[in-house]
Amino acid sequence: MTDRNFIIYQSSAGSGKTYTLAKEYLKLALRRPAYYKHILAVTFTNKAMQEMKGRILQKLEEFGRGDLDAMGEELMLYTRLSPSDFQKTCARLLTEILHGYSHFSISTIDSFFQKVIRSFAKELGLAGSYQLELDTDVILIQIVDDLLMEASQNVQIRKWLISYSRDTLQEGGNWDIRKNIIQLGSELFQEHFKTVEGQVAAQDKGLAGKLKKDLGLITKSFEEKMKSYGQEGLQILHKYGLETSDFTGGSRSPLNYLYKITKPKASKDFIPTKTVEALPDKEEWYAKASGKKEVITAATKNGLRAILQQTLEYYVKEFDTYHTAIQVNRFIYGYGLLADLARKLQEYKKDNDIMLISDATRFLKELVQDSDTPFVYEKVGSFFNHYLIDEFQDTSGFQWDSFRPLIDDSLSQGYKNTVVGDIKQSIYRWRGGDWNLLLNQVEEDIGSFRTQVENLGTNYRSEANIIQFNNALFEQAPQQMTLEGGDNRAEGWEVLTEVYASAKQGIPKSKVNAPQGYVNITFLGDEEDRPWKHTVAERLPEVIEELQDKQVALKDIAILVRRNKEGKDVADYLHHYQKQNPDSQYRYDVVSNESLFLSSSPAIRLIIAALQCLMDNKNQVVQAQLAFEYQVQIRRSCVSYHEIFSADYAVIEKLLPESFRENRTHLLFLPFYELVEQLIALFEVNQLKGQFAYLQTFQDLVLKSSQNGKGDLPSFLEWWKERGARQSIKVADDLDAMRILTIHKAKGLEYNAVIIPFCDWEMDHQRSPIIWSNAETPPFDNVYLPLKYQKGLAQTHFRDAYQKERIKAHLDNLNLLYVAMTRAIQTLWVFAPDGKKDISKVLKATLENSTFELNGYWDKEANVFEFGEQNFQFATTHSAVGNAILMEQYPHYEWRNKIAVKQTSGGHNLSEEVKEKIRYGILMHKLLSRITYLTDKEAAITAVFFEEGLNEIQRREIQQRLEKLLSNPSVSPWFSDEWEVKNEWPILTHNEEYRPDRVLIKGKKAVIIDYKTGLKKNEDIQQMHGYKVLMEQMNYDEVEGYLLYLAGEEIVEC
Amino acid sequence: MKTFLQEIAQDIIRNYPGKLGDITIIFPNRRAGLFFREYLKQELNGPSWSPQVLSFQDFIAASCPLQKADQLFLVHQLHTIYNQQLKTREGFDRFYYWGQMLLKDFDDVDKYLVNAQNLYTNLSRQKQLDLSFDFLLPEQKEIIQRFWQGFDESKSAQKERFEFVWSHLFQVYRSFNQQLSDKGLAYEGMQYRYMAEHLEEIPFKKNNRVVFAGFNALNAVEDKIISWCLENLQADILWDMDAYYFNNEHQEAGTFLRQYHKRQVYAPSFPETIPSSLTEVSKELVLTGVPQHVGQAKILGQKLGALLKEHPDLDIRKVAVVLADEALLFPVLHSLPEEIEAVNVTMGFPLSYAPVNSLIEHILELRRMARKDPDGLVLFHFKPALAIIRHPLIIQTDVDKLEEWANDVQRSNKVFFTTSELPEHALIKMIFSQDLGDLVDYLSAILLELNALADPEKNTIEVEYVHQYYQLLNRYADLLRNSDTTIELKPFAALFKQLVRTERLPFTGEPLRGLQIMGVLETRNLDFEHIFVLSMNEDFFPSQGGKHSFIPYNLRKAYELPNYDQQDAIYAYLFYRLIQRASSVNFFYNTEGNDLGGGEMSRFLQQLLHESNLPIKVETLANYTEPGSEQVITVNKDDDVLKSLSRYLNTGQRIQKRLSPSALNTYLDCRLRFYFRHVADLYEKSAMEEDVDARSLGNVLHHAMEILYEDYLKDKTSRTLVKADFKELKTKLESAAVFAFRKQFSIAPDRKFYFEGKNIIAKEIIKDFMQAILKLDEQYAPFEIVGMESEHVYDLTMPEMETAYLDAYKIPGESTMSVALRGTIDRIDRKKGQVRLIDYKTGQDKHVFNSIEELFDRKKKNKAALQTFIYALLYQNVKDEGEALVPAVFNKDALFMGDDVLLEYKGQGKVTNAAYYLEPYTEQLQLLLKEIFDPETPFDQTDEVRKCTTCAYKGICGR
Ligand code: SF4
Repeated sequence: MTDRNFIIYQSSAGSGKTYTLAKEYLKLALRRPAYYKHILAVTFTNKAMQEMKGRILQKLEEFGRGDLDAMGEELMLYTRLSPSDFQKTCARLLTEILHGYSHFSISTIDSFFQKVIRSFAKELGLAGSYQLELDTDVILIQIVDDLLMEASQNVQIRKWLISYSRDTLQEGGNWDIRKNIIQLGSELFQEHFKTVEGQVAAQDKGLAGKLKKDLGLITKSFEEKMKSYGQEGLQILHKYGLETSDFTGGSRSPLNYLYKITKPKASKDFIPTKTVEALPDKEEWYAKASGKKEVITAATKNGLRAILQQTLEYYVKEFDTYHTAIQVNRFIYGYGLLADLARKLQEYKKDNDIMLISDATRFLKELVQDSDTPFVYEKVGSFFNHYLIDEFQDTSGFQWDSFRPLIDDSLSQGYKNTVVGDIKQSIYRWRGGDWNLLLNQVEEDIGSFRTQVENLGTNYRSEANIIQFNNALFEQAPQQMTLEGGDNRAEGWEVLTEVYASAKQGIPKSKVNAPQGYVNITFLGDEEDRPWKHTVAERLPEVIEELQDKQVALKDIAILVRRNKEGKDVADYLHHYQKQNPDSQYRYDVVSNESLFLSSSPAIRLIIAALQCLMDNKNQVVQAQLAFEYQVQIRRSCVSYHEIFSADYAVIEKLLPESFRENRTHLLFLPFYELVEQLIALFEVNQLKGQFAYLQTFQDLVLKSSQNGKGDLPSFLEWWKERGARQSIKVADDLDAMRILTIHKAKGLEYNAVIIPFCDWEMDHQRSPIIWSNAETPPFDNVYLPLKYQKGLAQTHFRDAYQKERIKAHLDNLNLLYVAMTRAIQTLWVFAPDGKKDISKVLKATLENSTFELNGYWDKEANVFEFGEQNFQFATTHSAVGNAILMEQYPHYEWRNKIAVKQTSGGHNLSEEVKEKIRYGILMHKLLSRITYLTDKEAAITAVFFEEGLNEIQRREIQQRLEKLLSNPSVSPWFSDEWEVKNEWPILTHNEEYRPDRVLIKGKKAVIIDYKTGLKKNEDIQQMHGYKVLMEQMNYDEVEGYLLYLAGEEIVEC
Repeated sequence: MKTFLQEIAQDIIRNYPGKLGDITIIFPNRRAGLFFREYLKQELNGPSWSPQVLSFQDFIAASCPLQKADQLFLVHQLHTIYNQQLKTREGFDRFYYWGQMLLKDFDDVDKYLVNAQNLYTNLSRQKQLDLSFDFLLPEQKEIIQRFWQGFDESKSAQKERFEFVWSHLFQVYRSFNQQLSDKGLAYEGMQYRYMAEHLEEIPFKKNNRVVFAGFNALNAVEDKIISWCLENLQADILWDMDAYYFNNEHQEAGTFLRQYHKRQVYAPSFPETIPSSLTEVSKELVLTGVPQHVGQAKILGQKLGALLKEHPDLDIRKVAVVLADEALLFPVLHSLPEEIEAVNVTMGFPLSYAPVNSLIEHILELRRMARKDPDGLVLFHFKPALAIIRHPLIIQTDVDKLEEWANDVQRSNKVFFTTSELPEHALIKMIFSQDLGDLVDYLSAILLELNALADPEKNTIEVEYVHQYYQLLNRYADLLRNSDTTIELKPFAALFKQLVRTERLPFTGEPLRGLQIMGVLETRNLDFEHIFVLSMNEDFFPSQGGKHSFIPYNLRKAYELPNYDQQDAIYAYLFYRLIQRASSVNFFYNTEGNDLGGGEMSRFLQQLLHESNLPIKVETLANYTEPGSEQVITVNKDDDVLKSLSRYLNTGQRIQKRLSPSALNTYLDCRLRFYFRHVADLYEKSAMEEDVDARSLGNVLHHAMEILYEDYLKDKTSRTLVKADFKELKTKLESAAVFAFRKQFSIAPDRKFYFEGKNIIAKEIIKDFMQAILKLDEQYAPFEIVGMESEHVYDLTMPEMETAYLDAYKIPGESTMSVALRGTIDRIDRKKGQVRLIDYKTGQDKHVFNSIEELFDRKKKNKAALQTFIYALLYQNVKDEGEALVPAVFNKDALFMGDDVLLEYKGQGKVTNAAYYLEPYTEQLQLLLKEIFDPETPFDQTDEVRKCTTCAYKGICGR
């Protein structure tokens, strides 16, 4: 027995992570039937969570049947049970879990956090009713606009905004700074910002203002100094009657530097070239053939050389500071506004009663650190001894901080804890993931003496050739990445090789003997008029056809892209291709959750246009769009485009469905969800079968917006304008079509055939993020400042922060390559550009390298790497699509005339006075039905008061009315306790149910009373006769009937 | 298969003929009673008194002398007491949710007959736990003690906060109970406890029969009362159960029933053999996974339709649609098959979906965003205002007038306006009143007016919504008035939102006609042949609601209060009971979750799959989805198009239209856009802009400069500006800028205009631009202003345009054709024989160009240069002999970076006289025009999607 209870599994791609997790889970859970309640496993995604749950249940069912695989055998050994006992134990555990499912704690990290926070809402000072908000962009836009509005009242903000705008404009940017503010504002939601939040919140614009001033001084003094050097130099030239072109280099003489620094256009103009730098040490400043040798020598001697020397010395000394100031300046205004934005955000959250996901993590961190573990559980009702954390490389610092005390506590009690992760697959750093935790920090935090690191070294996913290829590739790629992207002088790059040191995976024995799998990497150059991506587009159908020839099912093919946009391009292209080749025996169907945007669906575009049209029927453009979409998409009519677009109002109307034209006003009255349903029907968009999924998703959004309060047309359209374009559909897993997905989404998934059409992502950051840092040199030393990540930072006091980020960015992008390359089981096709400076360069450099293990398969001429067995056939398509069902039509039902809502408000088409009477009539009716004997009066009034939501005035009113009625001499005897009373008591017959309001019984005598709220009607008397007949049939001898008209307190005997 | 209720009905008729009126039957809920009477009727011949049918809740309410008060009232009372006891001042809106939770806890405490004083005590120091808590089992005591000992060991902030609240709760509980009973009022738990403590007040007569039917999880009060009745009255209890879960001790569905079976008082009521319909009645079970929610409703419609086609004679009353997530009600209602004649909905309409709700939200927003001008006049922001005017409930009151007004606001850019600018309309005036007065009165009046205005024939549901809303508001107002709290906008809005969230509006229904659509809880005791359950996901079935409590899990357990295990067991029972007698059950579940959960199939389906051995079909909805494709639009130049184009030709008769430089620029950007705008005359909508954007800023600058100079020159004899003039000009910047903004937003002279938000910044920026222009001009002075914003025309002959189509438009006898051009020159000035044609630019325009061809190159074109050269073309015949035309661009570089204003032909130097380049320029222009008029070149979309981002037609192009 060791004390090393903290196990870190390093799980390279395909190494059976879920398998291992499930096994580890079962090892613990099989101890005793209810023990699973003490295990918490967290995953990052819902999918992973479901997969793990599913796997555990499935395994237990198999083992419970006596159906043991390798895992079963291992577990049986581990539990030291006999086969039959093991079988029983597993079956029993399955039953326990299925019937104690709330304790089956496998959960995503976010939902686990939510659960805990919810139960501490009160203690954390949250309004318990808060809703969780995921869409931070909408909030950000809102609060930035709010802030801009505040400029009207708040002088300080106004001044600040104006100078911000002015400075940006005068530096050549757009005066409209809203975008800039939004960009920096998005930092509010980042975890790294939360660490500096206190510092930001504590300051007002005073600090930023002062800093701003300091920066101004620094830049100004540097620029002026350089300018004066430049001018001095130029004066000397002037004195000697020289032009810069008289010196070496002619028109490109290094002395042009002097001009540059007197009139710099950008900070980079101050940076001397190598020749300029070398100049002071050079003897001769003239070209051999120059006719002005003497003058030049004189000039250099008499000050020019000295000036240049001084300039360069000054430059070397001060430029970094200057440049730092320039870089800090970019965000200094935004930085000054962050505190205001943070305040706005707080207000917004409070006003709208929402919480952000990122808040949850912070709350929990506070909670867990402040509290002790048992108390957290007391509240939640779960008691965990063991923690299993999946995808640990994606865990954020805060998340780890939240778990750490729990795990610490668990370890100190001798329980086992497990984390599983792979830094090579860390591609979610932008979302807060911090692989450094896995690399070093956890072990430090937990203590090496308690930690045991295990490497899951075998790849069970891919065929042998694919594994072999990836082993070879990632043995070298990190070095190549360092060479291509890195800076050999900079420290820290070795982390790349360190991370990939364990990349080499074992190949299962069964696969070694008959190695299978095929890799093709083709490099394509741009040709004239034909960018390389066009060539890829042409090759793509060929590859797809070839795969189909090999019996690969469409759903087993994945096309991996870096960005959604590329996915959309591929989808568009293949769709187009399919249309062009209707007779092809192949299929090119693709789906993707990420790349199929609602805004690209004709059906949705049509509905949106119709909605816009309803909102503003004078908008010609929208009208034309609606008519156009309707005629072209739905009617497939051959009206000429020009006829539609140039039509005037009256003509356009005719091009729209008649029912729409006529019901325009009526449509506006409908609740929003219903309106959309009606539009779908009116415009017959539900005829378009290929559009069902779009419609479904769209309607889900509409439904959600209705649930959120502002479910109306203008609000929805406003939302759509901001967010609509980014919504995409959800498709079922079973669909038989190729998948297009981003590499990010593909993480954790596997496919028989993987195609990477555009292997060309950047090695460094694509979009420059903001990094927060401080420097040692004043005035940059006391606060963390936001900086735009970019090359320029290398020449500032922030260079360390820059370099660190740069290395991380390169690792991210290398990891992307790793994730992309390791998804394939059988076939991997990659297309990459030739001669571009991006990840393809790393790839190519590796393949070309003579020490690359599979270098023999690199065909330099063809620019292709090809390895493995291309001529394979899939024995069976191992995923049948048998259980998919289709939606045949998209039904629409007019329910309004089939159902009614209970009328509580009384009639409507009556005069006010009568209405009022009837309303009180109804109330009296309700009152009376609650009164058996006079003594029930008070209770009845109270009850009606609450049930009907009355106010005090109404209460008094009905009380008076009741008193009056009950003091009526003909009425009061009905309420004496000599009677047996049946209030609204049903009388049943074979077909009907009758319900006289009040029946008084004494022996064989019965008195029937019916209250009426309306005006006198003949039917009332007939109804009463009916009751009397019934009573007689029920053997009452003496039956009387009375109608009591409540409005006028009139009694009619029948 | 007989249903449970049918069995009881038959039994009762058999056992108590003619005495039905003397029997009382108590079900767990009301709904069962309705169905029960229906079954009774079927067995009857002549008329008969119905038995008394009650729900347990109604039975308690009817027996208890304390009246039940409504939720809002109770929480409000609780709030007052809570604040007193804890000496806090938490607002009612913040308290509401927490108050509901507390009330629910009290309810539990009472229904489970827990001693509140014991519960709400910190027992860590209670040395004699054994003595005073002798009703607790040792295990329970241990749990409680362990819980509280934790508090002694360490005190974290959370614990302190918890303990602080906890230690006051008994006082809160006690005075709450006290105050209520003083008023003769109660909450439900209080009524229950009262009855449990006053069994002798139970109103049943000795000789009448009481039957309890269909109960499963009894709370302590129910248990106590029922056992008492069984022991002291003529009472029976009938259970509805199935061997499947009763006999298997692992099945949580049978947990409670098995416990009762062991109890002496209940044991006799259990039958010898437990029925096992669940496995014996043959069933068709189908599980359908559907991405997301609405799709479930749609596929339900399809399956329901198929069922009805298959069984045309099916009694639709035997079919039920169960919504585990009630939000799917609308989608389901809209997706039923045509064949369905009638529908019965047992759950209510959520009030929050009602149009009136969004209207009130907008009104509250309107008031929140309203502000006062310096004279104290209330100004309204256009956004909520438009949303209100266009709101279904409002616009229908006078469609024409209101729509016109809304469009008018939209076009005239009134960001803020006041009451007098609104259309004459009583309701509108009411909503946009200057004096808000009392918020509740204000809203009430609006609701009443809405109610009065409603068309009685149509929209009954909407009218009911308004009514319900009014009631809610009324109640709330009443409470507040009694506690003289002032009503503030924000907390009011916050609270009202919470109140509305839980309100439901009941449907009528003849419950026994048509298709039954119901929530999960309403299925209790009911049996159907064909069942469709939607949202069969972990987050809805078992329900996740109602699980929040301030009482920690452990203490709940120790005091035998229900915890979530029990709730799960209740749902398990609901689940299995629902399907036990059915012959077909279709489950639908959402397959798409997010990282917060969702998308997980319900555990009960897992249970069925893994252990029932019933044949189950699992399927997924997987429709193929056509990828959206780019809309390809190409307009060919057919006769109609050409005809429209020919308006730009000089045919000798009247020239109908002229092409401007910006039209040409548009053509270069995108041919189709040119077509839309200049050929099809499809006008872009001038969208409501709250503030100026990058594009409109340019216009404002033009206006401002024109006003500044023209105003100044008006009073002068000469149009020449000398250096001395600028001193005064500089003082007029502000007023010219303000004027320009007014013009841009078409604000009538008599209207007030305030700079708000971003416009404040924009104004400063405009002034910066103006200042910079003045500075340049001051240096350049003296010079003569020839024209500002002056319009010029020119007919450009096109010698080579001789296509067949053009012949139709040619002037007879002439061999060439000319194209009509026009342009508005921002400014023309003159100095020493130099005539400058000036363009002001606020955007990214550049001075430098590489060649004349490049100006017309779609990818590289230089807008400013293209434009100023056309100016030269337009002006060349106007200028005096010997004058040089100098195109000049006042852009950011010139104004702020010290660049020259002249264009620069790279390699050839500054353009100091346009004449040098006019010839090649005209040639290029002719080429461009030729293309525009060429019948063979269609109008197609640009390849550069970037151009589309600001295009007014991107909706049509789908870009
Ligand atoms: S959206 Fe794009 S393609 Fe369509 S008209 Fe506008 S600019 Fe042209």
